[in-house]
Amino acid sequence: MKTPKVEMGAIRVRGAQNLVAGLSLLGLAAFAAWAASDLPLGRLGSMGPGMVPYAIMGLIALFALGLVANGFLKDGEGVALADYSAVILVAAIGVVALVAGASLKAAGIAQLWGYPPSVVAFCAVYLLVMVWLAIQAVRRPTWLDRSGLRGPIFVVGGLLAFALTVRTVGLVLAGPLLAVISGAASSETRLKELLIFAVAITAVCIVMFKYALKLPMPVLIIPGVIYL
Amino acid sequence: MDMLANLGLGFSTILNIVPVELPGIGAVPLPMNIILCFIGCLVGTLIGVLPGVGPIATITMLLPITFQLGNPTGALVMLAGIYYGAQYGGSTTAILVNIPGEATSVVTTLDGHEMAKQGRAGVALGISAIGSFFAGCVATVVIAALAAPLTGVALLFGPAEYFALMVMGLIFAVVLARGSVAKAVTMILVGLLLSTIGTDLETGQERLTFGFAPLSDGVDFAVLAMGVFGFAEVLRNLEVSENRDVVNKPIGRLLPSLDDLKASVAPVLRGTALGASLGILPGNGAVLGPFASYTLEKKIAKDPRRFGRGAIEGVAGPESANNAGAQTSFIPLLTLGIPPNAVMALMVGAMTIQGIIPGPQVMTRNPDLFWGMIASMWIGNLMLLIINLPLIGLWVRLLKVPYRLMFPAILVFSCIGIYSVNNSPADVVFTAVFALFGYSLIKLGFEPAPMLLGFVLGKLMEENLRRALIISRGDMVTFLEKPISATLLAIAAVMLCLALLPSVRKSRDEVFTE
Repeated sequence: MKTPKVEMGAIRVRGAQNLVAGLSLLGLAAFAAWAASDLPLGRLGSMGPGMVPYAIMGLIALFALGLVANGFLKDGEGVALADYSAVILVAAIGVVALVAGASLKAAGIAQLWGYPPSVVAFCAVYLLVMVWLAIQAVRRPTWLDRSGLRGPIFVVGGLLAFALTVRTVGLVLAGPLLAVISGAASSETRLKELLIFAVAITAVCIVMFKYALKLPMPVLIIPGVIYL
Repeated sequence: MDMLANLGLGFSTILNIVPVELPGIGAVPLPMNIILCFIGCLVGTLIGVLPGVGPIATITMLLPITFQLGNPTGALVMLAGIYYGAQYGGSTTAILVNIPGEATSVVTTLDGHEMAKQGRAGVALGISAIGSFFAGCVATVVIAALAAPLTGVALLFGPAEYFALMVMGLIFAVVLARGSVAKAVTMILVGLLLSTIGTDLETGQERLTFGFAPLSDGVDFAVLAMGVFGFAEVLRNLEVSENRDVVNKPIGRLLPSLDDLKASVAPVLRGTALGASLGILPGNGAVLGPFASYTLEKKIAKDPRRFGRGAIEGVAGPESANNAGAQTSFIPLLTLGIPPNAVMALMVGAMTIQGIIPGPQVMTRNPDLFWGMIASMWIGNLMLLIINLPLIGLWVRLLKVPYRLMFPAILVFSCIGIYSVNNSPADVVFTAVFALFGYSLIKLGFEPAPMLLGFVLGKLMEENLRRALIISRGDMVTFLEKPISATLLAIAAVMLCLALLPSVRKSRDEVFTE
């Protein structure tokens, strides 16, 4: 990997991957402990709901500390920003959406189109980010491929689009939307081929799932006009 | 004789003919279970043969479809078919493209792909199918013979013993996997933690749900599996640029010649024995089978230099061991309710959704399901032989589908599956979250498979732990006082210590890198 050794004062980080892994797990354990803080522990003889989760968190924290120590003591894999950039970006969008949602709520808007405002904010910001990345895909493809954003952001974007449309418009839109958006995740994708393929695969899925397997799944909904 | 009667029950369940309403024709009597097994094998191979889609991903993708089947027997028979199909699909990619579907077919790439390069791909595929079929037949008998007595043992177990057994199962799974032991244990713990999300069984209090209603039933198994194995795998594959080494030599004849068969008989027998016995281990013993078989064949060969250059023994032995182990690894699941590896954990999830808790009680409560599943293993193996060899041309063509078209198809297919489990778009979003989670785990050097094991066993472990401690009034010593649980825990402790010893660790790494 790229950064095998990072100087940090007198102490040297020798296995950055293990260090980051340990710190992330510590964070996970702390987050879970915060979320479980209202659960009564009980006694060993009659355990409360909190006992087992707390015991597991304790063990996770223990192993996490071991990983942190390992990161300082033993040579190991390094880390590269590109490996985590997508997750960090999605988390950042999440934070922005929560803040925006909270301020919209304070302004008296409890729901937008039937969704909580933070959900709408998340989708809006995510869409903007995807559009920006799509522009980069044309302008600076090598940068985008190296950034580590391309795969995860477009795949997750496709999944979100599917989730938003499958119940409101139906498979006719959700399928091609998912295939086309997620298709942008690969640098080898060709647009024309992908468009044809997206329509074809959706048609196959509709025949197979809706008519052969008879899954209760809306194919096309136009409110008040049609429900297939 | 009991065994024969039981197998008879199994086969009569499988061959059971039910009238099926066909549109336009009316009720037609059809052997539904056979048809489901056939479809399972076919679809399993179809997906499993796609490069970059291993058996775990294949099964997670097809899991939601089996949920739609009303009867548990049919669903599990189909699932077993999918499992064998996916396994065989993995071997096919190993031979033709040099991409092993999972750890157990790594060894097949060594000589199998070499044979393919020499224009003997057909023979390699043929011997692997024949060897697998033979191994499958033997393993089915082994399971049928061992299931009843082992189930009897399991019925003696109380909560303390069960807890100890599950601890041992998890430790074995860690020790026999590759990669860092400490990181694998951590993954199990994360899985256990995920399993505690939802309503507490005893007090009814919500745990770790953040007051979020969809979480009160706990994390959905299919969602977790699809996110962490299906989609995270797609993300990982997107990063490696396509470099597919598809053999462009002709496949050649499929049936091995008499000389090939003569050379393969002994390796097949040895591989079957090795794989079947290693597969029974409570941990992921099945992984070791092919490695052990390959090493053995190489050691006793007259001319070991032939290995790695297209020796048919190097395909016949490991492939038989692979299939025998894949099958006998059902034993810990069916008798004790302990899944030895991630694939079996998926089976547990599928069974639970059908309302069946795996464990010793299945055999007494649903004997037709239990024996039907065992009979379906044999049928499944037969199907593979029938499906695979004639359809080999189709598989080869599938191998050439480029990944840029494959992954959107995989995503569309999986999303429809996940959505249809609960008709919930929110599940699709959760799957996306778990995909990012699983992807980060891979980037941090964690192997996600142990997490699934921990997640599947978590609820059961907690239940038994709490029960055992209620019986002993909070005395932890109870686990050491009971002879069975003390023995199991001692074995687990010894295994863990051994795995952490530097010298053993080194040789363990060698086993997996060879």
